[in-house]
Amino acid sequence: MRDKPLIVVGLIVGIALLTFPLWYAPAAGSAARPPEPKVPEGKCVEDREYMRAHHMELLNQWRDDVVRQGKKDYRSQDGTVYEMSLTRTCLDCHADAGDAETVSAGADHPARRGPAFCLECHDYANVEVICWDCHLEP
Amino acid sequence: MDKSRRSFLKKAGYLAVGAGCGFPLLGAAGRALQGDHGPQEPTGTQWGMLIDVKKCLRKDIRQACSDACHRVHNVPTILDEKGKLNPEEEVKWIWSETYEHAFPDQDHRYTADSLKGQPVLVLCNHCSEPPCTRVCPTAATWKRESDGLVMMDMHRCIGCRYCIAACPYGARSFNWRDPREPDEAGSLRHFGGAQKLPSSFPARTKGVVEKCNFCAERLRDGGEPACVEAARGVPGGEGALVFGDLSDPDSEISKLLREKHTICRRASLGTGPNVFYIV
Amino acid sequence: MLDNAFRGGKRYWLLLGFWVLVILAGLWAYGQQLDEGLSVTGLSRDVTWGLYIAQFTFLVGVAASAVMVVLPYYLHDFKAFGRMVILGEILAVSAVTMCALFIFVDLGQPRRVLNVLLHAAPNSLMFWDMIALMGYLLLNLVIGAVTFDAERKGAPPPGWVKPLILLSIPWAVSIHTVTAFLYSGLAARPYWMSAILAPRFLASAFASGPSLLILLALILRKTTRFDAGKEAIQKLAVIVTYAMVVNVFFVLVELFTVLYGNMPHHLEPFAYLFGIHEVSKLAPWMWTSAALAVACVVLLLCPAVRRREGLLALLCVGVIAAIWIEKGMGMIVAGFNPSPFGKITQYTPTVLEVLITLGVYGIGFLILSVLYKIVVSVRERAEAA
Repeated sequence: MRDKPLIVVGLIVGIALLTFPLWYAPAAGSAARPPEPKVPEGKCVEDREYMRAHHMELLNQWRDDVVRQGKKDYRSQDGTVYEMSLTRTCLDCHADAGDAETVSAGADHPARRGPAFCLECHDYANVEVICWDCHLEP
Repeated sequence: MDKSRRSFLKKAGYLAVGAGCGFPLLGAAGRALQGDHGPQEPTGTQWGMLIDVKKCLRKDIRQACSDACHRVHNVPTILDEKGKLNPEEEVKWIWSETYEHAFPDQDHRYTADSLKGQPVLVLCNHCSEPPCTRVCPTAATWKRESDGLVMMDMHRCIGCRYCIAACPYGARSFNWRDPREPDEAGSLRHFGGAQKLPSSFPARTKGVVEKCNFCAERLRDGGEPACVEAARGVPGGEGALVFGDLSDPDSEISKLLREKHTICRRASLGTGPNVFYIV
Repeated sequence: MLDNAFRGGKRYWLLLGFWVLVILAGLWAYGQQLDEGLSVTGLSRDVTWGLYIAQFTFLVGVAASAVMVVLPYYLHDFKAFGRMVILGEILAVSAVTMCALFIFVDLGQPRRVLNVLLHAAPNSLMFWDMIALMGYLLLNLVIGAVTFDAERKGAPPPGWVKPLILLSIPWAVSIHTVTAFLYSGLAARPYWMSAILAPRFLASAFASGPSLLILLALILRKTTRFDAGKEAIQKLAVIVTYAMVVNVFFVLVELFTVLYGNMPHHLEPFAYLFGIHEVSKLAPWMWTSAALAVACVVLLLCPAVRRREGLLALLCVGVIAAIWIEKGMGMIVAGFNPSPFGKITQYTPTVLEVLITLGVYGIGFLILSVLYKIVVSVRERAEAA
């Protein structure tokens, strides 16, 4: 087997390339840290576990109820009634004070992509949030 | 492979493809049949507006209406690169056109001097038989059964602009660019260089169509359209714009419509506009 | 069979390379459009559809014209079209793909395009257009692949393909009818709202599509050993002639109604198109198109002219150009001028718009080249054997 050294080297390089995404970030120290969204005081529309799993569906449901059905009120699982509004209800607690001005500004401004609370997880998961293409913060 | 196994695999394949395509199609068909109506209380309301053309000849009243509407809904004033008004990419919900252009079916060679070339407020007519909602391929615009408003769902609009082609009143505008794009200083170029938008109403993004929504969000909270409120706020502007429920025979607008001679735009097209004009 | 797409001489790869370059330019331009929005085009609040939808309209006609070969061959056993049919079906596939792409690049929010299927709106012609076009694409792909493969093996095609072929005939007519209905149902646009729009579309389609097919067959005969047959080309030329006669007749019929009826709403778009009252950028194009159409149809009516293939090719180019101008640019832009407020807005496509358009054409011609190469290679090998 004259080619043994070549094959071994090739294997090492190949495996290194294939597993590159796994080892590069921790080695270079640029690994993304797990998200730690700053949870505000008070009670959310639903509890944390439910929101974590279902906030997208909840927002979609609110969107259809408000825009297409003309409805206003949402009764949460514990009976409290909230106004179905991203801007007035959700952002009442989840908007950062500093976000307000920059979020209204132009397309390229990084903060325009949304409140820090949303970005904390969405940047980590690399799931694009298009709400802030239109919706504003108070 | 023997014949029976082969034919079984073929049939299984067809079944899989059929189910894979069939279920989503059935689901879509079911939803299409149901429409986006869902549970809605049929109130039978049909909002309508009555505009007194003579009163609205005053520039301050018409300006107040447009300004209020565009402020409340974050409607941009699109400028070109040189900072001038760009009529080609204009976004407007309520504005003025000349009498001849607003009422091409009514205009003739001997139109009264008081109306000839005079400005008339125009906006979406929230028609009873809207051609725009008929052509929308995604039902992103539809006529709400609860209150008769012709609504826009900016989340669903794919920006095909078929509704613009279908509207005989030129009431709809398309966002050819992002209305919130910044100028060199980082301010909002199409909002007069402001840092913040005038209101918290969701702005729009590029690629969607928008138009007057009869202030649906204000109506939901028991209010009235911003233009109507603004007109009344101008001294002498009371009664310039009247807004109410056309299906209620005792509403102010219904009474006025019975008393006064009114016209609507391009009545012969059969769209059934719900904005009327006292000329 | 499909491996023939990957085996070819220098000319083949150069051709594909050229299309790829065109496509890359188009992709870059489309990236700009995605970034900035449709303001990079020459479209405006009043003229809201332009070059993209014009190409879509023209190409739906080309796609539908495959029926002009399929019908005689499959329904009436016109054997002379034996080698032409697959060319027509491939042209249909390429044209429908381009149609879909032109709609896609015209959308303001393309990532939401599936909403048309997710939130089906049966009242909208655009929904039915999507269904019709996708169905037609599928039909032609399946029919073309199955029948050509069967022929290559020297066996008759499987029985289940015959009903599909029969279905494709009314389906071809319907795709262009549905497209015409997109326009002819709009009371807001008097230039379009005419019952004759659908027949006019079909007539111009059956003139421009077969013209393109003739040109492609002649090119194939010149550059490869694939010969669709003199008789097939001559028969197509006859079809083009009569279709063009009908098309010109329909336009004259429309002109009569508009001119004699004298209604301003109907007259104004025509006046704008031909620059009667005021300067219009479209006027020179429209007059050229009219002159070309008349000249070509008169010449095509002479059998002696049709038999000279060089002249025929020239006339086909003329027919395609005349119809492309009239159906493409003329029809779309005139629908929007004057606007509901009586205003005339000029429309000129921008460079980016043209690049994106060329990019889509590049994709269509790439598909055409690859599929034609497969057909040509299989045929050449069969004939050599």
